[in-house]
Amino acid sequence: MQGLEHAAHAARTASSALPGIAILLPLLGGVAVLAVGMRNERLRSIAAILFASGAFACCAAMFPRVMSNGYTLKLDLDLFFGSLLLEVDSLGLLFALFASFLWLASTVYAYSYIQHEERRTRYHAFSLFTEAACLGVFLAGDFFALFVFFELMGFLAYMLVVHSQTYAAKKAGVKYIFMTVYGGLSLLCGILLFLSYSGGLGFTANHDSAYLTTSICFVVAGFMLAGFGVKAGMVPLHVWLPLAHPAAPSPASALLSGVMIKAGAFGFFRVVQTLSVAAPAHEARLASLAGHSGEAGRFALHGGAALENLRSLGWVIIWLGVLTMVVGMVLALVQDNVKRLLAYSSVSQMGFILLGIGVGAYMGPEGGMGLAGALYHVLNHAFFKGLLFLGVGAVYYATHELDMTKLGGLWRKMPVTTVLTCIGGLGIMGILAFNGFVSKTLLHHCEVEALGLGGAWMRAVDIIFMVTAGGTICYIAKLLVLTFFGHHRGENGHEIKEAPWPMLVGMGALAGGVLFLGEFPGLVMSRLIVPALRVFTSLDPAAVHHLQQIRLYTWANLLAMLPPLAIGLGIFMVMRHWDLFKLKLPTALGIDYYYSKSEVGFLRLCIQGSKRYAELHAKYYPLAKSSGEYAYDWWKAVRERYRRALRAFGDRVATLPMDIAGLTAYVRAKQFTGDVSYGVIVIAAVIAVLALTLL
Amino acid sequence: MSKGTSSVLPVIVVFTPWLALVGAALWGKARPKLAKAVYVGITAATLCLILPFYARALDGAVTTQRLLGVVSGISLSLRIDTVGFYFAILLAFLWLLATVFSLGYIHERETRYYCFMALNLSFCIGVAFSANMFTLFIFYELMSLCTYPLIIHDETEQARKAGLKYLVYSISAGAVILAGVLLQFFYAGTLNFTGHATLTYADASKPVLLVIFSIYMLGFGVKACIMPLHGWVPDAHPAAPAPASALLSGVILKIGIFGIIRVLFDVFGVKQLRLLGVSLPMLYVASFTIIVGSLFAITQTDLKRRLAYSSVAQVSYIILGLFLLAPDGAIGGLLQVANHAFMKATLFLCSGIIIHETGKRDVRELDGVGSKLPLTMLAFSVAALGMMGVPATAGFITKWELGVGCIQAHRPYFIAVLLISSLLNAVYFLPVIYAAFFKGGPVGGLLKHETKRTMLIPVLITGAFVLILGIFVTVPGLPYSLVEVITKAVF
Repeated sequence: MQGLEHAAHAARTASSALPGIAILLPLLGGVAVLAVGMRNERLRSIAAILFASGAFACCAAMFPRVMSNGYTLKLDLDLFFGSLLLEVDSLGLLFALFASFLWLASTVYAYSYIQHEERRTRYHAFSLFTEAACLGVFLAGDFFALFVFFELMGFLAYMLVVHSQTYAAKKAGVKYIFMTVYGGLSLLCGILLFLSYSGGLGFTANHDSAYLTTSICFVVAGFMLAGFGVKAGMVPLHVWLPLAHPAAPSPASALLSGVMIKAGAFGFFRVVQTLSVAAPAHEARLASLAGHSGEAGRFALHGGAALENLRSLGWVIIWLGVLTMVVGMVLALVQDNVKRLLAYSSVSQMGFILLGIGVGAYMGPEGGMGLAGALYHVLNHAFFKGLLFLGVGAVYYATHELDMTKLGGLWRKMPVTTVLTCIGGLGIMGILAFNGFVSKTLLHHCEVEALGLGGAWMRAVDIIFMVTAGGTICYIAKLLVLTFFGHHRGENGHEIKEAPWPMLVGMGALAGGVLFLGEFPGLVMSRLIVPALRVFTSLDPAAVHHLQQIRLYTWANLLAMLPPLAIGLGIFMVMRHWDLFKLKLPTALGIDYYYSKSEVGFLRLCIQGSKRYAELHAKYYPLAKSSGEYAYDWWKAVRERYRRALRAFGDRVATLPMDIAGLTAYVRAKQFTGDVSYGVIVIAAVIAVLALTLL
Repeated sequence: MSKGTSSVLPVIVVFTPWLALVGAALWGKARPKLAKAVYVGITAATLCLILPFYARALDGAVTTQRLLGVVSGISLSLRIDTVGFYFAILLAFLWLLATVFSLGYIHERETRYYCFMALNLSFCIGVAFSANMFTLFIFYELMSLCTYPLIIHDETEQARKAGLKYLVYSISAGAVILAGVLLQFFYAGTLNFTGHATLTYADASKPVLLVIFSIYMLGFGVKACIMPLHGWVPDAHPAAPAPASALLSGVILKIGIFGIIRVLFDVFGVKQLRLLGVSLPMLYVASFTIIVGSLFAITQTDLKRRLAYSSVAQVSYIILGLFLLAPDGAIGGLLQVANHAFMKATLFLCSGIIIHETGKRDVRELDGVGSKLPLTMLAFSVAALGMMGVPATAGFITKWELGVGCIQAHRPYFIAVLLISSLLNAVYFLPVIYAAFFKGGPVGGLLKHETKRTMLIPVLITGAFVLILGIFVTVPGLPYSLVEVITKAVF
């Protein structure tokens, strides 16, 4: 019965202009900002805030129909090849909601923050342009639209990354743009192959599910995941992230870390969704129960192989996630620059999300818990990482210092900022009553559920998860303690003032989100997460329904929080004792080292290639020339012999009448003979060739 | 396809540009301003005369006019069909923009320059409107010869050398095409374009067909700069003045492509080429050209030389698309004709403004140009991003359609060529944009007079078209509507 309800939910679509307006508003906002920016700065910033709130209002207006009533809102724009499909399902709307909310908060924050930067109008304009593209990614109805917006977002965000135009920013920009190009190409390749093998571009509809049962789906998914993985900061494609996120102005860093890397995670969700189409476990089960053959029976046949593929892919994503979270955590521990620490932390947290997605895929029909955990963590990370970046931005605004060893004791001067940033910090640590606790508990649950299927490997994943959570607690504690507590270690300590109110409002909104997500997990689960899970048709509806009733604040869950705390404390003590926080890892350990090497190598190859070409040319050109000369000499010799024969002939016919002799002499004098004979031979050759071809 | 009518209009269109010669003779010396107005006016008039054929072209209707018969079966005659209209309208539009641009750019030997521009326009339209291979060959040769004075316009040593190289390549190519025309006539007995295959297995054996096909490819491949035959391109483009190089790259290379399209659709026909098995070798040649051309472009430091090599690579996209012998591939290839024309015209015209305003043509010296010429570099960036195939630019449309075409033709591995090429495009275009905007030089506000208006406006128009062609693909009047008609008739 629930299954039927489920199917009925998925089928309802309505056409609506709202998705288009949600994308159009920030776009127009960007243009308006550019137009107004030259004349009135205050008006420009207010316009930016208004347009950002308009976009959020549009997304919020879609909430009742999409989330509560299960409609899919559709808008087919007559662009590109006659169709740019926007289709808002519950998953897309979840992302669009938090994205537009974060953008609004960041724009309010930037009202004050951006005052101490140059090129303020450009910042606001490109922030809004990027928002349009980003919302486009989340509201896209098929892979074509998704790709178009994804690429646009990548290129537009470049302007945010390099905004300050310092040396570091430009360097980060170069890395960022090339990684974006690589990712885009990989994604395009994946999408074209997807089209080729499935015959459609939709996430669920209109494709031939047969391909999902073959191993070719790994190739397709591999290309796609590599493309999305670049944006998601997945190790080993994360190299741009720790450079780009700190280089951008803080409100932009908050967006990059809070929203834009989620576009990569969103892509992972969509890929898993497409793969789950062919493995609709409940339908197969229904079919076997009712003894149907026909359509449902075909599903059942495919379901097995497709499910296997989904599982294998999930297994790969799990380990990518594990790698990502560990590498990010280890590197975050040894950073002194607050923003770099947060950037590596983002890498690590994306690992958590990937792990959740991986387990969700790996568990097939029972993967609801993993996907729910990943989705919850996407939400949480958006809020707490956005908040942390805004917090350290406020610190930077007041002190112009990002090195945490030169900060400290700020809680006296900036109490509100301290409190708000600490809320974000407690959130990411996963402390009880803050939002990280909820998602980490969900992720822990899903690992435990997967123990049955994954066995010892899954146990290892769970342990690594605990350790990484501990590491998270450790580096965030380091950040908060060194930045806000103790005594001030820098100069000009007395000039520090609390951040202006628009910045506090922006941070406050995010802190409110962190607290809300932490205090009301039941509400969030039933209103946001569980509806969003509807798009994964392979999930067992009963299990999803069960998620709604899950109780998170239980003693068992509280106890499960203790090991990470202990581990975090342990790591903190150890690193403090042996002074390991200052550890500089050798560059050859980082994957970036090899990327740089290969880039340099490629350029060298090109230059060497062209040099070699020139050398070859220099070497063989004389040879060719000399062989030409040789041929010419030979030809001259032949001609000479011919001439001599002619001369001999002339001598022999000397007795002929004088006019012939005279003509011969004339010809000889004018050196005609050679050329005439040459002409005769060429004509003969052409005739011969034509004759040969024509016959 | 039988909706054929006879009309004298094609003849008028082809010979309208000759009026510029009258203008030059009357006012060239005495009143140069008036003469220039005449040149621009004549070019605009030509464009306006072509426009009315749009509705007929969209219907797939054909307009023909016989000029004079030469021998039985061979005549000089004109014909406007959809492909011809597509090329003619495109080249007339670009010609108008380039002529307007020239007003600001060309300061010496103006009369000669504009006269040959006009003649060249006439002959290019003649090629597009040819009704048979013989007419096409005549106009093609005339066009080749009239391009020479444009290339050596500066009369520097380098330009003369480039011009000589160009002549040698063009004339030998002309001889080869003539051989092809003769062989085709001998076997098929007709040279007319009818929209379907005229030289079939019924006329000749497979080896003979292959020989004729190769001769045509060798002949037209010189203008279409297929890789071993591309030698003149990287010399001629930098030597010519910017508007002329924009036309060389945007139009004249495409005239070579036009010849190939005629050979493909009207001489051999798609089905027969599939049977001949020439698809794969041509795809390999095109792929080789795309990748090696891009690699050469990376190593160039002269901006215009870099653009020239980029043209070599990008024009082969068209060949790749056409020889996939699949509908979407052909659509992609034919769209690339217009897309590349606008992108490369923008790039060359921008490089012209850069050279005109700053005197710099080495890519390593372009630091901070963006703050001096913001609008120019904006147009340059849009076109360069288009070359990389960023969505919402014309280049993406090509890339996507070609990708889909590769799949349709069951040759998905050629997608790799497209992707590698995009990457290489990024490698040689991004540093230029980066240097222009983010390196050196203080960033000032918008300048009031960045360059002459006659130069800036054409650049902005072509730049805008790069975006329009990339977003509003299916709007009637844009290439897609025509290309769809062409492809539907063939496949």
